[in-house]
Amino acid sequence: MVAMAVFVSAACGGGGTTSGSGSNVTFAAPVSQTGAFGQAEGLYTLQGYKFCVQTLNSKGGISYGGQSHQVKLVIEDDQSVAATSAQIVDQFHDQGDKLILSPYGSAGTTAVAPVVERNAQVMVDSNGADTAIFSHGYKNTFAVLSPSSSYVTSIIDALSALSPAPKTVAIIAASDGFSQHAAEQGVTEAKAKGMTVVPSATAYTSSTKVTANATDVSSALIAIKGTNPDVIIISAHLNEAVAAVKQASELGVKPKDGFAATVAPPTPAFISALGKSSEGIFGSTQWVPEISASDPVFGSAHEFLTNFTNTYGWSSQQYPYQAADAAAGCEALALAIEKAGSVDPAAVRTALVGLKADTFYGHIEFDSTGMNTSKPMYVIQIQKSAFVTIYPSNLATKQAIWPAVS
Amino acid sequence: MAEILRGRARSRQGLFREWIRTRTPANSWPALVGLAVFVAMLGLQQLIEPGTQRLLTSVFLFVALAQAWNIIGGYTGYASFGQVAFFGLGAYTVAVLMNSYHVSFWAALPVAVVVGVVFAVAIGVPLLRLRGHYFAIATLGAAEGAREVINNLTSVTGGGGGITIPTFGTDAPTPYFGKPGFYLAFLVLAAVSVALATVLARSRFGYSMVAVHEDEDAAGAIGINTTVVKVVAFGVSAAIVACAGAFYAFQQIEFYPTDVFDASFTVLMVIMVVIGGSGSVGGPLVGAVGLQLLSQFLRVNLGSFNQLIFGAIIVLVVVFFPQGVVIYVRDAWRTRHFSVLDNVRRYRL
Repeated sequence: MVAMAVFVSAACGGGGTTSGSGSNVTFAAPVSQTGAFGQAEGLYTLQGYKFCVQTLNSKGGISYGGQSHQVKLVIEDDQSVAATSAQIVDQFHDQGDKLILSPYGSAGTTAVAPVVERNAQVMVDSNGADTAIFSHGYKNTFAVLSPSSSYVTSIIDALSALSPAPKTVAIIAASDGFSQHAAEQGVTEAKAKGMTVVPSATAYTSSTKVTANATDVSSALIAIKGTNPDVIIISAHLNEAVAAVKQASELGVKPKDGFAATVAPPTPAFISALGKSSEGIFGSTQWVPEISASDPVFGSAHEFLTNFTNTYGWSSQQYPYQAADAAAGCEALALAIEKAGSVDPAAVRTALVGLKADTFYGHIEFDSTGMNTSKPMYVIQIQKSAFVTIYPSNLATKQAIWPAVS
Repeated sequence: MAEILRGRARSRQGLFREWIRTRTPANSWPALVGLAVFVAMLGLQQLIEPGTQRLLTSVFLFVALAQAWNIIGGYTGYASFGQVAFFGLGAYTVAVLMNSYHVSFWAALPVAVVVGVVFAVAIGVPLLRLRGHYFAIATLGAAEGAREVINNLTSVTGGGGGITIPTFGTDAPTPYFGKPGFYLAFLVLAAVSVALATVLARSRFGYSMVAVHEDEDAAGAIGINTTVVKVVAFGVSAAIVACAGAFYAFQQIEFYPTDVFDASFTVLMVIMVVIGGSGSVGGPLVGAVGLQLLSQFLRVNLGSFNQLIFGAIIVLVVVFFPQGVVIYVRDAWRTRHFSVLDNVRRYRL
């Protein structure tokens, strides 16, 4: 209770005193427990939400109206199908659940956002980064994570800081909107850093484009093979990234310096799937425990990592950053309720618009479209089966192994 | 059969008169029950929450899709695994017309149906010469190809970045229907598809489809133009699916190629027809309603095990009722013989 009082003061600049226990506050989320995301990304998201709710409740719940309120998490499996996520959120609306946490991924979040808007619910998006979600003028969707435009650009920035910096990069991109947009921004950044994109700057839309969630990306690798890039960057999700690294070896496609990928490398499932082949691969990530950030609920970023990995049995060397995204989304919603002093979705939305919070995840503040553009992204490298932060340099715990392939 | 198939052409008015003349309580009750259910579903809309309306909307969607698959896969015997191509094309036709050309949904809808039918005829003429597994694989490939074309026509379709149908403010060519509107739209679509399947099944053309299914060579020998029958059946099936895709696109507002060309749509259509009973009107209806509601129940109540249990139930139903639940019940009722083990022996041993 005391911790929550501190939490309210620190995060919201004041608040009432608590005098008892109030009714439960319900957070509702469609989460992928089965289907394409069920065994990895959906699971990590679910664990992040559960860990957040468990931690909030252990510290007295959410305080408003002079009372503390325990948080109840309602989840339903969306089977990794975007339309099912939308259907579930409609049913949440029937049940009176107005405070929504997003499903995993841009496709699901894209489908849910208009439903939330029409139902006058409010959603905090923890794992849908596609900037397209925020281009339609939706007023009730807020994302804590950095947008898709940052995923490949952060990798390019990290690579350009290495010595010698790569001169040529090839970009394989999945066909989904998030991956294509990330690749598009990456090409622009590569050109700005003086790199040449091979086989061409637009290849990610044609010859090196692969079907989303594909397990065969050989056509893209064959298109790259003759160009001998210094680095191959994979703008995709887990399945495509694993396939690209495996099939590159089989097809004899060997970049001079190494591989990099968005989303996939900073997940335990990537190392499990590739074993030693994952060594040296760079990956962009939304969160690393080295950041200097803390809040009264989760403590410091390192404390979040320790407590989360202990709770769910992950190694602290291989932690799913998606869980941190999810916990941060959940925390942002709790903070907004405290600030609003109400669970009324309109009041919570207003509170989210003006939210400025420093959390274990970093600074959370939304721009006029609902994106948290102030938060940077980070780059890790897999070294001895551990995630090692290598970018930005002030957070680096070790030197990058470079070139990353021998 | 030959006499029926060679029967002289009759005017529509004559057919209708004969249909009225031949009505008896015994053969009218399915139509009356269907009409009563339709009216009841219209009334039900006033009593249920918007989220439940959306659930029922998905049930109606699959009723239409299963009936459509049954026309080509059940009656005609050509198991198409590419139905989702028509669904995706219908969806994208509406989305592109509304998004880029500001065409109203009601004007875009018939265009979507035409696009679906034209594509069905274009691939049907060569592919319907294949039989069995070869036809199934070829249609699967056609659907994958259609998705990739949509994926790569970025300037028109938005490619992998998805497409949005404007539904807000003055940009919206047609006001968004909302959940009550889509409930009605999909209910009518389901009812029309059931009615169409019923009429087809009892028509001369329906008998031709069954003849092609039973023995295509024999059907040809008695004067049926089997190519025309197959292509028309494929086209009718595609028209329903494309129409469903068009409504689905408008309902979703924003979607990606992977959403509307998802092969699991086709797989579900096939499973629903097989579970319910192919080559009947009631089979796809019961299969679609049963499986959609079962899937929802399991998803809400069983968490991460829901798909496992769902799959196990499908396997059990296929093993014990290989002819489909509706046909089992119909035959068992007629013969007053309800032994499931005997049923398994009859069809399996």
